[in-house]
Amino acid sequence: MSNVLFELRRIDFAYDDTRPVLRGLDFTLRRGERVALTGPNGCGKSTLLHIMTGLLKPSSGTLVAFGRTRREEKDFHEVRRRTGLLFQDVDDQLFCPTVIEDVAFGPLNLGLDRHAAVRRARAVLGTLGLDDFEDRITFRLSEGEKRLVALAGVLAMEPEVILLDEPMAGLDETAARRVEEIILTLPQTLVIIAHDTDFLARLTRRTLRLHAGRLREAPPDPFPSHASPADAPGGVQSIRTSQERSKPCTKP
Amino acid sequence: MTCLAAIGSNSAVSRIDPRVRFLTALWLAACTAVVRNPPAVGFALAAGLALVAAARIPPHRVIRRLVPLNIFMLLVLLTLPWTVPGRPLLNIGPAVLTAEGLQRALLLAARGNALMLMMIALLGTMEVTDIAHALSRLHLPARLVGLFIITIRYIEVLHHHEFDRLARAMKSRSFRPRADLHTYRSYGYLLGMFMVRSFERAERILRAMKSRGFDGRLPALEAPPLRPADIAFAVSTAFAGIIMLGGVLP
Amino acid sequence: MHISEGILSAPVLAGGGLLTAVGTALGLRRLTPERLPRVAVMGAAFFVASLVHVPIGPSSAHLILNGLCGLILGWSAFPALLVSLFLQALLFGFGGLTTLGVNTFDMAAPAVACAWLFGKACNNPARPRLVFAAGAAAGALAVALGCLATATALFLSGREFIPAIIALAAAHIPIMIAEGLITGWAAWFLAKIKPELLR
Ligand SMILES: Nc1ncnc2c1ncn2[C@@H]1O[C@H](COP(=O)(O)OP(=O)(O)O)[C@@H](O)[C@H]1O
Ligand SMILES: [Mg+2]
Repeated sequence: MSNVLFELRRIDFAYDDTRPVLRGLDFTLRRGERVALTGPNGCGKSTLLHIMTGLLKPSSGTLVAFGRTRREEKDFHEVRRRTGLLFQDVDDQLFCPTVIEDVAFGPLNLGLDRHAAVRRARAVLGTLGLDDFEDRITFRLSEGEKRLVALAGVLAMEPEVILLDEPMAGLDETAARRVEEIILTLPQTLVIIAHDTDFLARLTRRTLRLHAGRLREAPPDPFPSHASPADAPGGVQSIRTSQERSKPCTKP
Repeated sequence: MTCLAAIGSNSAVSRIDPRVRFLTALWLAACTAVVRNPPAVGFALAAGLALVAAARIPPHRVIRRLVPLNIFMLLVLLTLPWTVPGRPLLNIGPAVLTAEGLQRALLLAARGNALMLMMIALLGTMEVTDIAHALSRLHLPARLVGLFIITIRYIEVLHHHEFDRLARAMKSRSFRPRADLHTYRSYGYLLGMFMVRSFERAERILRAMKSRGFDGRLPALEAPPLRPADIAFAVSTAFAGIIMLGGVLP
Repeated sequence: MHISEGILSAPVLAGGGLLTAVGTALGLRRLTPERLPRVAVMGAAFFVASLVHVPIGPSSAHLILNGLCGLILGWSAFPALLVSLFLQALLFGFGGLTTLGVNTFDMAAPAVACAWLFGKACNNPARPRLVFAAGAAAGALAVALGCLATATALFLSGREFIPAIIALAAAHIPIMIAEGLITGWAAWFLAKIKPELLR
C-alpha cells in the first residue's frame, strides 16, 4: 500500500466567485508525516482542511485520499472515518450537553453500540487526564478544557490522520502547554495549523506556507533547536510572534 | 449566498414602489383567492404569468418556488376527481372519476399557481429589508415590524455562523442522519445548542443595535414620493382585480 | 403542514386571518423589549430549522418545531410564527400569502396549548427525565393538534378533501414521533444548560 495518504492537485476554491481562496493548490501528505501549515489570517488554511475532509467541495482539481479519488459526498464518508478534524472554533464542535456524550458521539457514528462507545470515550478521556470530566456540562468548560474535550472527541474515532486547526489559539500559557504536550505525543500523521514557530520547530521539520492560494515549502529552520518530535517539551517559554498574525493577507 | 436573498430583478415591476407592490399583491391575492369560475381563474393565471414575465425572473427560479405548492396540488389532483359527485367519466371498481371533480381539481391548481406567480413577481423580487420598510410605512404595529427586522437579521447570522458550522462539525465526525434514536437525540442536542448559542448571540447583537440607537423601530427614512408609474400600476391592478371579481358575480 | 394557496374557501381564509390577528395582538402585548431577542431568535430558528431535513422511515421531512416554540415563547409564538411563515412563503414558496392566517393559527394555537399543558413540567431543571417526557409530549401533541387544525380548515372548505386529509394525517404520524423525540431531547438539553429559556 502506498504511503501517500492525501494527494491534492490543482485545487481551486472560492466562497464567492469574485474572490478565489485557493488557486491551483498542490499538496501531498505521506503516512507518518507531521506537517505545519502557516500563513496569514484569512488565507484559506481552514478552508484547505475542510476541503480535505469533503466538508467543502473544490470547484476544480483532484483529491486523492487513501488511494482513491474522492469527488462526491459519499466518497468522503470513509475519508472522514479515517481523518479527524479539530475545528478552529471549539464551540462549533461541542454540541452535546455532557462531555461523555460528546466524546462518544463519533464512535456512535462509526457504528459502535452505546456501551462500547461510552467505554471508548472513557478510555480516551483517561489518557488525556480528563477522567473526572465525564458529567461536566460542555458549554460551561473553560476554553482550554473545551479544546481538550474536542480533541478527545476526535481521538475517540481512532483516526489515522489528524488535522488540527490552530489548536492552541486563544488559550492561556498553561492550557496551551498542556495541549502542546498532548499533540507532541500523538502517533498519527498530523497536519497542524499554527503560528507559534517554537512549537512547530519542536513538532515538525516540514513547514508549508499558504500564500496567494498556493502552498510553498518554507525553508527549513537553520538552527533546529529541538529537532526530534520525540523530544519532550522542555519548559521553553514559547514566544508567540504576533507579527505573523497581523500581517495582512495579500489578495490577488 | 444567503438564504434570504431576493430574486434579483431589474425590470419595470421591480422599480415599482415597495408599498404599492405590497398592497397590490394583497389586493390581487384577495381577489384571486375568492374567484371560482373558470374564466376568472384563467384571467388570474394569465395575470400572474404576465407579471412574472414583466418582472423578468429566470424561469428556473419561478419553477423552484412553485414546487412546494404543486406537491400539495398533486395530492388534490389525485383525490378530488374521485370525491366530487357528478357526471362519471371513468369507473374503477367502486371508485368513480367525475368530470366535475376533475374540473374542480384543475381549477384549484390553476388558482394556487396564479396566486403564487403573483407573489413571486411582486414580493419575491423585493429585498426583505425593503419589505420591512414597506410594512413600517403602511403602519403595521411597530412591535411586529421590529420583530420582523430583528428576525431577518438573526436568520442571516444564525444560518451562517451557527447552524451550518455545528452541522459541518457533526459531519466531520462521520454523522449521517438516519431514522434512528441516535439521529433524533443528536438533532435534539443540535437544536438545543443552536438555541442557546443563538440566544446569547441575539442578545449581543441587540445590545450592539441598541448602542447605536435602535429602539425597536426602524429609523424613519424619508419615503420617496410615488411616481406616476407607481400610480398607474396601482390603478391597473385595481382594475384587474375588479375584472376578476366581476367574473364571480352573475 | 403548510396549506398551499388556492385551496381553501374564502370564509375559511378570512376566519384563519381573524384568529391569527387576535393571537398576534395578544402575543405582541406580551412582547416587551426584554423579550424581543428570545422571540426573534425562536422565529429565526423556526425558519432555519425548516431547512433541515430529518430522515423519517424511508423518506424525510423538515422539522416543524411548533411545540418547542410554544414551550419557549408562550403566546409570543403567534407573532414569531407569523413572521417566520411569511418569510417561508416569500422565499421558498411554502404555504402562501392568503393562507398565512390559517397556517399561522394551525401552528401557533397548538404551540400555545402545549405551553399551557406542559410548560410547568418543563420548568423543572432538577428533574431532566420529566422535562424530556413533557418536551416529547409537547412536540408530538403540537404536531398532532396542528394536523387537526389543518384538517379542519380543509374540511370546512369542502367535503371532497376528506381523502386528502386522511393522506395528510397518515403522513404526519411518523413526523409526530420524530418531532416528539427531537423536542424532548432539545428540552432536556435546555433544562440542563439554560433552563431560563423554558421559563
Ligand atoms: N463561510 C464563508 N463564506 C464566505 N467566505 C468565507 C467563509 N469562510 C471563510 N471565508 C473567507 O475565506 C477566506 C479564507 O478563510 P479561512 O480558510 O478561514 O482562512 P484561515 O483559516 O487561513 O484564516 C477568508 O478571506 C474568509 O473571509
Ligand atoms: Mg482558520
